[in-house]
Amino acid sequence: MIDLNIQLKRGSFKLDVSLALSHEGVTSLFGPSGSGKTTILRVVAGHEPSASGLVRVAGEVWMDTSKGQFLQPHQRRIGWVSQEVDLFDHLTALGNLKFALDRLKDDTSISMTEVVDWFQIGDLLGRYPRALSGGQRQRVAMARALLRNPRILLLDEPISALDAAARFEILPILDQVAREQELPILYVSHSAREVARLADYVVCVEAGKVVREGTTRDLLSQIEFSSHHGSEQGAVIEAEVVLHDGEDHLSQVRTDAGCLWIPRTDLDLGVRVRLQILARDVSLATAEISQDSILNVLDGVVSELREVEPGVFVVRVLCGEGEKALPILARLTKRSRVRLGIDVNKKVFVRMKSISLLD
Amino acid sequence: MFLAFDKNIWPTVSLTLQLSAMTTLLLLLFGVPLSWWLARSRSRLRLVVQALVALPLVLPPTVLGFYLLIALAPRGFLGSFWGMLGGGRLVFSFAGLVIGSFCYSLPFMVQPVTSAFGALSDRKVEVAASLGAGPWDRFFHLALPVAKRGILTGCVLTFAHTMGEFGVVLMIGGNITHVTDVLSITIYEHVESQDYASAHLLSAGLLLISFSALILIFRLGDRRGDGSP
Repeated sequence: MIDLNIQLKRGSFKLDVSLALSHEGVTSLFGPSGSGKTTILRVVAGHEPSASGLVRVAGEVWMDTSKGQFLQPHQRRIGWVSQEVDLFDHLTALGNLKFALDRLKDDTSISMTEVVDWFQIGDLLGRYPRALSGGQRQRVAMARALLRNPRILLLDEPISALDAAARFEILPILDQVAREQELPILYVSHSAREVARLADYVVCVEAGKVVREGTTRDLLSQIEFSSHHGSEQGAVIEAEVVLHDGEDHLSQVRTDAGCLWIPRTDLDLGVRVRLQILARDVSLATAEISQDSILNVLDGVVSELREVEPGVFVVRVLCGEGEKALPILARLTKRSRVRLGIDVNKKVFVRMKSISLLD
Repeated sequence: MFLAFDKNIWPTVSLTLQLSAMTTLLLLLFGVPLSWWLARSRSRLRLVVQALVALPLVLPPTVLGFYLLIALAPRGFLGSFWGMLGGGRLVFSFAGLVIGSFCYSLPFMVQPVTSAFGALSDRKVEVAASLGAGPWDRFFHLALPVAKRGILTGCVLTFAHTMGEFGVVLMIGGNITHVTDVLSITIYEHVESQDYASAHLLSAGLLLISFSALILIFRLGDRRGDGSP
């Protein structure tokens, strides 16, 4: 549980944020640069002494200016990784890890071998930071942050300076650590794809204020919010790998609204994955079509629709029952909408031409 | 001639080395924390302190020496304070010379060390804090190791600079045998009395020491990119 109620004024910039995050897992602070995302992390870390308000993490009060309480940064259990090279150059990778571990004193609940193993940095320990690649450095930096045995992990665009291959290495590890350690993560990002891949909960920050928040699934399927992503607009859903069909090079995943086929993946059965279904890859039908090339069809009810540009509608369809209903976005022309009579509460068939695995 | 010369020279050499060592040690204790403050502080006072520290670089040593003479005199502000502590006379004494050298060599310690500390980004200091290191811990285990070369450079510069100091010593030390007659003053004496052979020997010695010191400093600065910090 994280309670934040932060006010900070710097020149003409004003930060005024109030958040109660019950979510374990990854909360993404999402927004344009200069919106105050990084400053929020700095306040949580204790590096903005001029901030006022309340910071409470896992039951510990780190700042409460109404009571004159302010815990110094070195007394707060945080793991903090940014896009910059944060490793200490005068120490080897191992020296950097020990810097964190040596200061834990009597806390033995986190082990060096375990963390080194997660991030697969065993072979790098003897090297100095300048002899490491960007991706290797960030893996060591994240390992070091975890060796602080933090109550919260603050990640400030930790992979945005890396190339695609290095990102691909790090994201799954982070995902796994977040889930296995039950460690809340505040993840600052301006990449919608990173958010879609990693975040459980999204907080949109603009000009120092929270303008919108919600679960990733809800938020990314809100027409207005996702419209910012242009052609990348689409729903993100969670699913579990249940079957591999080697002959047809397909894998089957189970969602809350039924099973879907995706291109063959090497992931093990039972693994949880995230899928992105772009609105432009989805079409709607009012009757079942039996002879058709499309593999993935779900039925649902239209919950919202909006004309996002002249002549183009985005329709939000809820597939499945009740709370767990899966929101899916579809893009269609005004003419199709009128011809099919699509409106709120209309029953439709959602036909997905393509589904991609987020990784 | 050489043997006769030998007997008089060792106390002078020893005195000069003692003065340099003492000055370097004191500046290490005082100058390094001051440099850390200068590198990290955002206080407006910083500029004033920075200018004060750099003054000896631009002032004629006689000006500095003159004011020090006044301050160190028995009724001067340092002299009387020293007297209150039970110390003896400061002018024309070894203690006075140490104070003078301390002021005169201050920039030679503070400037390289400040720029070495300056290379350490705020971000890294903050990261160290978030990893559990308090202010002293950060100073000793992050700042000092990172600035190691700068500090070594400061020490060598301070030592060499103090060995060659002349004007300030002349103003506040005079030339009292075995108390304040350091090498540079003795060279001046030899030239005055036309003893060029002795002046040559001492000058060549100082030249060699200064040259070696500079080689050492440049070697320290040159050891980059070889895989070790």
